[in-house]
Amino acid sequence: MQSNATRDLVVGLFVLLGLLALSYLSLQVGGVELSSGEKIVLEATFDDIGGLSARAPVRVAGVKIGQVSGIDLDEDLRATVRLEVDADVGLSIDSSAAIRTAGLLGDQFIAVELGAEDEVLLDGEAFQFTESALSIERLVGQLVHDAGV
Amino acid sequence: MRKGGVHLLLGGSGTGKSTLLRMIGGLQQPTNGEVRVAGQLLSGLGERELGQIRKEIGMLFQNGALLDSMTVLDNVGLPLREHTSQSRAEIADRVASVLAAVGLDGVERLLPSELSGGMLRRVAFARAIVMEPEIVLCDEPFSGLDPLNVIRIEDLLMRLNRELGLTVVVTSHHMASSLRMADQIILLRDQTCIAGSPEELAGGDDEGVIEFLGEDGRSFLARRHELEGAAP
Amino acid sequence: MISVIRTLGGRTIEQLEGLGRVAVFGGLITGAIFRGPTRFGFFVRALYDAGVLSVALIALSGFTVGMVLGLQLFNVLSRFGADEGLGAVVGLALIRELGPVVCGLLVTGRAGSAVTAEIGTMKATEQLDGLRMMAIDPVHFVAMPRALALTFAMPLLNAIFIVFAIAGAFAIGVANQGLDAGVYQSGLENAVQFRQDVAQSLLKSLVFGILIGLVATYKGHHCAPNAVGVARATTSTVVTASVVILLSDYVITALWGV
Repeated sequence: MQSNATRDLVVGLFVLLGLLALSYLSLQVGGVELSSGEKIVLEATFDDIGGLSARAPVRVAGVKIGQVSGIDLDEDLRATVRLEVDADVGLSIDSSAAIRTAGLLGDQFIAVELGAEDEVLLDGEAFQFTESALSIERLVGQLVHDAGV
Repeated sequence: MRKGGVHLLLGGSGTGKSTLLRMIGGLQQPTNGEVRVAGQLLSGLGERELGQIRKEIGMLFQNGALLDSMTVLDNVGLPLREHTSQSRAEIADRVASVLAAVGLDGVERLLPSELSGGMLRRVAFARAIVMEPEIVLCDEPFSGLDPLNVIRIEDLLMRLNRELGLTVVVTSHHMASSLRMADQIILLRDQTCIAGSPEELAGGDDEGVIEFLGEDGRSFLARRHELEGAAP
Repeated sequence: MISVIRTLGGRTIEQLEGLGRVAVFGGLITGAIFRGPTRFGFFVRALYDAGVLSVALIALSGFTVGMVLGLQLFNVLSRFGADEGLGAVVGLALIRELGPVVCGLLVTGRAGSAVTAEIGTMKATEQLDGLRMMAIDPVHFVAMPRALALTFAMPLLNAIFIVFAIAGAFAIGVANQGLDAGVYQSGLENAVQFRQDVAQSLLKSLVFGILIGLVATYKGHHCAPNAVGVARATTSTVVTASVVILLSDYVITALWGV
């Protein structure tokens, strides 16, 4: 049998390795964010969100600044999407939120295009300008209709 | 069985010598009848109450039953560690003195697998007596040992009995040595038992007893007192 | 006909009784945990046997499983021009199902059987009776630390298995088939979510660990006290624990709502 000290060390290494693997899976792959600073929740209302789902990323200039935290249907039967974004980004109040697709068939995400105002959106406020999801079916339908077939 | 004697359980294989010992230890329940230890009925006791009684019993198993994964020191010191509040150093001292009593020293760091059969038996014996029990149960303490070790263990048992007043119960088919020690012999045979002092059994005319002990055993018993008288 | 039904009934009762005895034994172990902690040294030794000795097997198997997944899935996915989905598919399959289940089966064969064999041998050589005669509860002394160690080791081994498997699929998909590393990584990270996938994986591995620990220690404690008994009990541990893992995997997956 190995001496106790060696065995304890090996067991300690094993636990460490396991915990490392576990934290890699949780933090990096699973996307759990520990102390990621202040968050604010913004709202955006869309006519059609297409295939947007909760936890889809919110990006400014392609950089992720937050994620979709919830989707509801409001009384006008439009989709209200709640976005959880970093508080220190400072999106001006005339920014617009658009639902975009990564690639032709990829996942959908929200792209924020900045406006020109100095004032910024505060917690709980809503985007004034939104752009719904681009639906390929609808695009094709539009094309066929316009061509007058 | 009386307190303080050396009791010998004799009988052929399968007559239940080991089973009887296990029942005294509370490890098995009798199918009928009852077992009392120090006046207390064992059947119906939970493990916890049995534990209280077992602290007064040391048991030596046939194969020693030492824990393979622990050193001799840890094995012998285990009851002390579990049931007393002694420090490591105190336990080590006590273990060393008990091991010395069974004629071993310098084996504390070894594992049971590194010991010979005779040493193993003596270590197990040390573990059985380390708590200073009232009763020692020995299941075949002599089987498979060379004559020198048989005599060692025999002496040890006798000394414990004479000097510390322990009650010793031994099962054996090692005729000569067992007969030399015994105050009382209990012969198990055909689901019955015959009990008596060696002289009574030797002098008796029960066919089974005569058959089992054989001519040698009978003559040995008859001459036992002369022998003891001769040896100071 | 009636005798067939009678046999069926007898077998059912037998199985239920066995289940009941395992449950009672589980209760004993739980009771032992609350009655007092095991000595730390015992737990560490049991963790060494259950965890450290399984790591090499788990890592190697994980890497191999990942490579096979990578090769198979890459071929199928690229047929539809969807090879960038490799990371997502591999990640989800491993984290949700393959990781906990394959890891559970491997740990059953490696560590569970060893625990049964060890405890069974202790029983056959009267070591357990020896403990009882020293007024030491063998469930507390022998079974409990081993069951705890298996329970504790399983989630860690599961995580190690999955990480190695992800690396294995990476090796095939990226290094061998030429998929972009960033595409693989982002596909993986976007598809896998902590609450749905990683937490489910953790829960499964924890439950499997408890089950392996319970079955292995139970079979050891209740084996016939001889060499044949120990051999039978060891086989029985592998069979029983494997079946129980697969069954409970389905139950957990169904309850979790996928």
